[in-house]
Amino acid sequence: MNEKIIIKDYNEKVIYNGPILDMPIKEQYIVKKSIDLFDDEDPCIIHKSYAIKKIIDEFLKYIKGKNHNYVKLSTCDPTKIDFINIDDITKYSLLLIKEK
Amino acid sequence: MKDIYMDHASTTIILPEVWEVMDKCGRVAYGNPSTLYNYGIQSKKIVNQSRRIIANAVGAKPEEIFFCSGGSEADNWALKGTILFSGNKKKHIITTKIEHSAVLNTCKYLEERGFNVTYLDVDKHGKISLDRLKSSLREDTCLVSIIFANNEIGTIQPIKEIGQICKENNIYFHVDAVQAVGHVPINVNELNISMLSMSAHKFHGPKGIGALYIREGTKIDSLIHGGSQERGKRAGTENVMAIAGMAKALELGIDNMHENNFKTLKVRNYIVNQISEKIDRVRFNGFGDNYIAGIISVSFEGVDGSILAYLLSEDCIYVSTSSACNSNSIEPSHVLMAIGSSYDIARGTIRISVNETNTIDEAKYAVDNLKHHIDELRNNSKRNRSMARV
Repeated sequence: MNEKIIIKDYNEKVIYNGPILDMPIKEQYIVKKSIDLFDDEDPCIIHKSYAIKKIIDEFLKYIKGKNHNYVKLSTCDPTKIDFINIDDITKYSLLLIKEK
Repeated sequence: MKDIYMDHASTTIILPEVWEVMDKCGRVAYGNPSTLYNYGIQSKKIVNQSRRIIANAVGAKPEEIFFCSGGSEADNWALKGTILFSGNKKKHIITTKIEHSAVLNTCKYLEERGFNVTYLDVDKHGKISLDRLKSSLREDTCLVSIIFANNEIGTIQPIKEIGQICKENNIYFHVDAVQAVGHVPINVNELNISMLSMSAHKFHGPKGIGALYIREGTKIDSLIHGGSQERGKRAGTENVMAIAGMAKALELGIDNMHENNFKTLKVRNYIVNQISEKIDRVRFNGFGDNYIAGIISVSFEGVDGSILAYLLSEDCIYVSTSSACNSNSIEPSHVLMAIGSSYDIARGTIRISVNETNTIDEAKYAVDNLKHHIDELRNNSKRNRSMARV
């Protein structure tokens, strides 16, 4: 879960490069996850960070299920990537740097 | 593998014998203890019997035990109650940098209202210096408040020696013994303790119930005003079921203390040895000459403790981190910082707290999973760094 990811557009321009846990996540998804987990729509920072870990963990499992580290987000189930807070996310590709 | 609960310093499971007592109490003695008919009288009797059991457990008189909602209330009461009673005559408190937030935040509250607090440093094991304590005493020192066994690193303070210093200087000595009661022998008279905080859920009792031992003659204000319960010192209808559960849990804790500690130490030593053997770049925190058997605070270089705890929880192994929740940031543990840990070490720390219910098989499974996740996290970090250089 401390993997790094790079999100690039079609012109290979880097949109995000950093730890997967720090990737931009839409606030409403964090709140939704917090409500699912704790029934709390205004979680403290520790509960919020746990909700983020859950979101990222589910995403990682989805990405790793694709069995390669380079993923064209246009090929992904939109519901699995909509949480990423980047406009038109399906236009991008994602490189997951992980242990082989 | 079934759930492996290794967070007993956070809270413990209620024992079946305790449930049984509480269940019976809830069904039979539901009267208000302040009423004078059968159901109320039954309740009053249970409260008084429980008080006697708890008093015996710490070497106190029954009339020195006051039930309250738990450790935090007991700590708040001890500090605010004594210093407020002293008025403007004694305005100084001595405590340590590694207290539970129930003490530290109460001290902060009192400082904001004009009282003075000295926060004693601790050494690398988390122990205070008795000389430093002595040199911190002032004419207007009202109270010394020291945690018995630290909740994060398990270090036990030299309580008897501190008690002696306080006695010689005629200063109240409050001890937050939430992690110690039911786990180590405590006699408030032998230790010269004026006030002692305890909390039932740390020794297999229910949550929401605790007690403050207040030595006879201690001048202390009430925190909660109202009815005349608890001899007029703590108002509110008694939580009879929980009080009965607390007494039963403590009775069992005292009766089985030796055997429980033996089992706990066996699992603790196995975990410590296996981690030392199988995982490199590890640091154990605390580990002086006297510590609570069940608490292992361990730091892994290059690893985020919160991620590690999350990954372990996905394997149904439950441990905790020692971070504190601030308004908008996760702060490194004040205890780890006080014993001289760097920010990175504090960040890479988890607390594994075991007790007599844990087994060597569980410990083996936990350490194997721990090693697996640490290897993976460190490999990822290495890969991330090398990619960053490309």
